[in-house]
Amino acid sequence: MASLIEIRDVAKVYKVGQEEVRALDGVSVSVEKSEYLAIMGPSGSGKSTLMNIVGCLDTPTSGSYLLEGQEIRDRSDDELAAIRNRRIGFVFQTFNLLPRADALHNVELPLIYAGIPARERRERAVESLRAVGLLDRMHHKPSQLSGGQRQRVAIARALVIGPSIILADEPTGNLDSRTGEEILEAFGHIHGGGNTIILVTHEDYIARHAHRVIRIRDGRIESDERVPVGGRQA
Amino acid sequence: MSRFSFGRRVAEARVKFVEDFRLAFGTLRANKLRSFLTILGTLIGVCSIIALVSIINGLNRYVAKEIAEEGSATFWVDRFGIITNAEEWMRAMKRRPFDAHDYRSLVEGSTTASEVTARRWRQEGVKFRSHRLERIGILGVTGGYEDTHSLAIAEGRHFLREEADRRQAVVVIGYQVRDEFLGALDPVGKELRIGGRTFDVVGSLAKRGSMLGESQDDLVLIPLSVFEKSFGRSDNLHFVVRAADSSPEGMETAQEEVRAIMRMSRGLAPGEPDDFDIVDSKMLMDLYRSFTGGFFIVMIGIVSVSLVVGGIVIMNIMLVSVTERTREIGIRKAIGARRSDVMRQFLVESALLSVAGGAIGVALGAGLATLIRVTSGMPVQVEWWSVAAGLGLACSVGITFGLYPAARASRLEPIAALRYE
Ligand SMILES: Nc1ncnc2c1ncn2[C@@H]1O[C@H](COP(=O)(O)OP(=O)(O)OP(=O)(O)O)[C@@H](O)[C@H]1O
Ligand SMILES: [Mg+2]
Repeated sequence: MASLIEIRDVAKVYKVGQEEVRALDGVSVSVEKSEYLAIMGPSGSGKSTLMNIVGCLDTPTSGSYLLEGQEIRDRSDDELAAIRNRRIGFVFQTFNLLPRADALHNVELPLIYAGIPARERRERAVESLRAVGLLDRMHHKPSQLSGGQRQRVAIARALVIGPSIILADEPTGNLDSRTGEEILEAFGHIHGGGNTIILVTHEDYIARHAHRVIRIRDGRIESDERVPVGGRQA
Repeated sequence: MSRFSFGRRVAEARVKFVEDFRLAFGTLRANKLRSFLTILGTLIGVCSIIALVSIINGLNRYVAKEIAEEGSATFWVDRFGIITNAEEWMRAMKRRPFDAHDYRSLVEGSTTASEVTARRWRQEGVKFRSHRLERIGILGVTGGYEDTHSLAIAEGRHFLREEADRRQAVVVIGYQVRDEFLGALDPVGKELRIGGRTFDVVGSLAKRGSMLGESQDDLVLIPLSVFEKSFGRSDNLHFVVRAADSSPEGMETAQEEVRAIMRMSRGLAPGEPDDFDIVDSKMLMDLYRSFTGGFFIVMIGIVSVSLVVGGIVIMNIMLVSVTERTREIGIRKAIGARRSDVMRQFLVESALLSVAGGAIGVALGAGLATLIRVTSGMPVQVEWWSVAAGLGLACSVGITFGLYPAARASRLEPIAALRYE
């Protein structure tokens, strides 16, 4: 049976003036359903580039990416939008919330693009905010929330439509370690619910939550290890 | 299966539309001044449509009514006819003025006219006791004028053919003259002085109102014979003919007969052009129509220019808005907005902007039309079709000029948009 995510020999090349930057240089990786995967590596090694490709926000220069056995390169723009909308929840390091919308509306947004009617939308968004413990802040704008609260809104948004894959690019990068722990706990719960999680991080203690750690350097996979059950934290 | 998915598609589209409107209203409210400046072009364009259409239509109705009142069975025979340029004026000036012989020829020779009135007109002061009114229209007419003019009597009577023949100094006064001289007094039997002669008032006219801001009630009617005794024969003499048969064919026959009699009376050889003109209400109406037709074309020009300028302003502001909101677009795309979703969002916004401009334009245009009705008394009325056309035009301007910015927004790559600083 095909893997959930199957990346084969993917390269991403940026041209900056005359120079070529090989952000990814022949990366192959498969991810099975319900895995909890951490991607680590030094700054500039290509982690975000890889995540954006997995999240269908960006396309590889060469190589192939199969999601549930289907080649992403052959998908139309609208099909990619539908995949981003329904199958993947993306959590960004910089939150990427709409500044003029309140927390509730930010969480509702994916449901709007899924065409879900207002009443159901609201119920599901409220439920999602409850899950991240932000019910009492649902009418706050992002500027009226703390960093940790903003990230929890972003997580509620990523979860609200019930995607099977959660991608998080340094979700705790802008947070202190205690808030970071809270966020990680939330991911633990999500994983417990049967979701596949891929998380980018710099910190070893964060990676320890995962079941598998991939290390990247200069656009190549340096190591790909399963973490023994004993070494894991909850 | 396909019916089910079609129904769902419609429901989903509605969900998104509602959201687009909420969003567009929010943006409009958040940038009130900028939005207002953006919509000025469409505002002015639509305001002009509403105001000008109601004014022209009001004018049309008014003129049609006035001309119809002048009578569809009467026509004028005049040395000048309809003058629209200096050349025609010069040509008419060279023509020999009409005289009593021409009049007698018409009266005696015509078989198809039921009445022929000769008239001269000038402005003079009119005195009642110590009270004097300047520049009152003095109309000298032959007896029987009431058959060729629609002049309703309010008090007393018209002067009679015998009175005119006997050169009696009798006068029928217009509403305004009566009102200013006599107020509530009975005008009949009062004495007026016109051009150094004393006239007996035999009747007064009903109010006629004003035409294009000119009062139609500041006139008096006296017998032509007395007019000529007082003021000589220098004022233009012309004739008003009433056809016995008022059908279009009857009018045609009467005009042809009058033309033949006039040519004979004025000694024109065959092949020589007429040295007089015949004018009827149909010609006046045609002239008026060609005149307002030109006006309509000018109006369409003004409106098009302001709508196009308005559209360009909208396009410019929408381009700025797309750039400002690049990150927002990136976020929306990252969580599942399709190209068409982004496209629609921006189109709804530009359409809403221009329709808002159009709506304010409709309100101002309607206000303007009402103001003109109240101040001028013309039957100016806002036409519902002009409101629909104005709003429709505004909306299509918004959509047309919003297309390019919206397409640009929709084509942004999600990752590039997210990275935009
Ligand atoms: N749009 C771009 N144009 C040119 N070069 C780019 C672009 N995006 C990324 N790069 C380059 O690709 C390489 C990988 O970038 P990437 O953002 O994936 O790194 P990262 O591993 O996420 O780093 P960090 O831990 O600092 O977030 C970097 O050298 C970067 O300079
Ligand atoms: Mg990164």
